[in-house]
Amino acid sequence: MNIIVCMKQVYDLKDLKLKAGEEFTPQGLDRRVNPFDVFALEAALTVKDQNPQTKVIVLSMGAEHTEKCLIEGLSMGADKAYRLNSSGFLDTVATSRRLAQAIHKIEKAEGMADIIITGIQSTDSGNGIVACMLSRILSRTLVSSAAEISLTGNPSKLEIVKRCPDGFEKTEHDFPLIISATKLNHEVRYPSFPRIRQANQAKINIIEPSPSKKAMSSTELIRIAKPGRRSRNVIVNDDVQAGTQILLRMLQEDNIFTR
Amino acid sequence: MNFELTQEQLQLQQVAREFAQNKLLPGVIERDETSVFPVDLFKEFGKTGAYGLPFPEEFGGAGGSYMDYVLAVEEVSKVDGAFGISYSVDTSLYGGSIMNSSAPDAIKKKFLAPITYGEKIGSFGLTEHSAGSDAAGQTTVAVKKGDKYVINGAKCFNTNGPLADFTVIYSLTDPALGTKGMCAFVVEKGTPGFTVGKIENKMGIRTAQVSELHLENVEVPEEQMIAKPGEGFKLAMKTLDGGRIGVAAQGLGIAEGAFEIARTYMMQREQFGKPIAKQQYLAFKMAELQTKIESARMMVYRAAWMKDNGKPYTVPAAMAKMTCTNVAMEVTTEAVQMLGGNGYMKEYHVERMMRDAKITQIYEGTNEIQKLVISGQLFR
Ligand SMILES: Cc1cc2nc3c(=O)[nH]c(=O)nc-3n(C[C@H](O)[C@H](O)[C@H](O)COP(=O)(O)OP(=O)(O)OC[C@H]3O[C@@H](n4cnc5c(N)ncnc54)[C@H](O)[C@@H]3O)c2cc1C
Repeated sequence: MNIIVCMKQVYDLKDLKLKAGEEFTPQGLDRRVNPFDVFALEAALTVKDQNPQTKVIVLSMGAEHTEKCLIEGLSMGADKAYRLNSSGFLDTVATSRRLAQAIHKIEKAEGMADIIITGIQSTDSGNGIVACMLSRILSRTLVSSAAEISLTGNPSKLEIVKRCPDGFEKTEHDFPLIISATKLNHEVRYPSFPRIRQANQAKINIIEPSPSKKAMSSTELIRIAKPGRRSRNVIVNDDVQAGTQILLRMLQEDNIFTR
Repeated sequence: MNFELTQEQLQLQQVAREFAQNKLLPGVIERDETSVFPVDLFKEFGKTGAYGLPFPEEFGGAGGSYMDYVLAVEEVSKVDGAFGISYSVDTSLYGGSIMNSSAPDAIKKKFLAPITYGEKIGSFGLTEHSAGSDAAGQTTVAVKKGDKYVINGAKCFNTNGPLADFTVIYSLTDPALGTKGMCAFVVEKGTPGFTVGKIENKMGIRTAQVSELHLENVEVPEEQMIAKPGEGFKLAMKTLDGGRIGVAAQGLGIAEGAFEIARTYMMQREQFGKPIAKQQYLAFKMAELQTKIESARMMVYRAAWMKDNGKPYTVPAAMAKMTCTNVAMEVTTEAVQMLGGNGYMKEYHVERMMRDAKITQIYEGTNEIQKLVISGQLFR
């Protein structure tokens, strides 16, 4: 069985203190693996615990520094690592398309992925749609919010315990599958020290992107800033034309729109 | 010269830190009160290979370095000093005795591999009632009988003693020969005649299990003799050199743990209309303490580096042990002061850390004995 786990390197925002309107700069912030992607990997590794033949492949998109998160993935127990080379801002659509291309390339080299797992969202941009987009682009079934996964039956299917607003839902699925993982029902394993050493010496495979027009970012990042906070609620009663102008100006004043 | 930790070491440090925060911190106060050793947690941390960090993989170790081991002991000790010493004794005193010995490789592997991932626990029996600082004053005797040795005597203050599956027992073959006849054996738990005596009720490191060990006609196969008569004293001293680096790391960790609690507290606690951190007297004190912690860190990291790089490390280890443990005592005492009345209360941790710090100045050679070691090479 093959599992591809998508892992993202995010900024650690725990010590970030921004005043209203202040622009975000990543200066001085540490980077870490997106915690939800750690859950995704842990879920994949529980399948590998059940079936040791499973090959767990970690994939991350980004510049060289993202290899740190792949090394962490290998330390926890992944077998292979791929970095999809990329730099600068890409919106979620472009990100998903490029990841899908990379997944095709990995599948050519490693065989079809029975499961693709991502974290349910990243803790920095927090869009939470990469798994959905992958499902659409690759035309594979999506199960979101997995808190537990395990192999069951013969031939095996995947049993997924999904976290729902009022509890849990248990379902069984055929492969191939795309899963987004949320906080798991079990603990995440600690990497062993020998594995950490091996991981730091392991080869990271690099995939160069071959972006089609569709895989270019259609959104441009201008700036990231903390919105100003309005101390009162405002109801705009004007007609649509004038009201829109007023709202737009207010959003500009609060630094939400800059042009 | 390079003061930077490797990527690998940063990652290892992070793992130990997360384990300490997530697993050791909850319950550390209750454990201190009940004096119950957290066997499950000890085994869980063992799964990372922590206890085998400085040992080669061919002996079942994790194939890291002494520096790696220091980082791990430091991290756990920031939260739980008692866990730190149980770890340190397991690795550097028990494991160190095995690795430093001239035992055949198969024997080394047999007695080292089971402890490196925490399946078994080791302890180190050198001290006796009559032999503390003067380890040569031993009376435990091992007499050869066929292909076995029969050991009689008693050890005291054995860290991990009541838990240990394996203990290295240092003993004399002939009391008349003194240290010239000192040898060492691995004695397994459950060997007839080998029993746990009084379990100590201690001021600090309360969850670490420290006890007497009694040996009454304990028969041990000759192959478990890891130091031949005459080699035992050297083995013990060499092993303690490494152990002192572990205790230094423990002291450093305790100091850092207490410092951080005081630092955060001082930013929150307001008196005279402002946080007490704004009182220059206190802020300067903290600046001094931080500087002392940094100098202690340099000393212990350097001692570990010297050991890893095959340089003589007896004196650097003694200096590091003395410095780090004195800093631990000073920082924890001041941390209690910084927290005022709360510092004296159990829920703020620092009073425990102060009690834990005290022992680091005493075991594995008191700090007076470290001065003996350091001055010994000064005026040769
Ligand atoms: C909690 C705990 C755990 C321990 N764990 C272990 C263990 O796992 N294995 C083990 O073998 N031992 C262990 N020990 C023993 C420990 O190493 C000894 O207690 C220590 O070496 C001091 O010996 P002592 O207690 O006999 O003190 P003493 O040797 O009686 O010393 C009393 C005082 O005299 C001072 N002194 C002695 N000689 C000199 C000198 N020549 N010059 C100047 N000052 C001197 C000492 O520094 C000390 O202040 C442990 C002890 C404790 C308390």
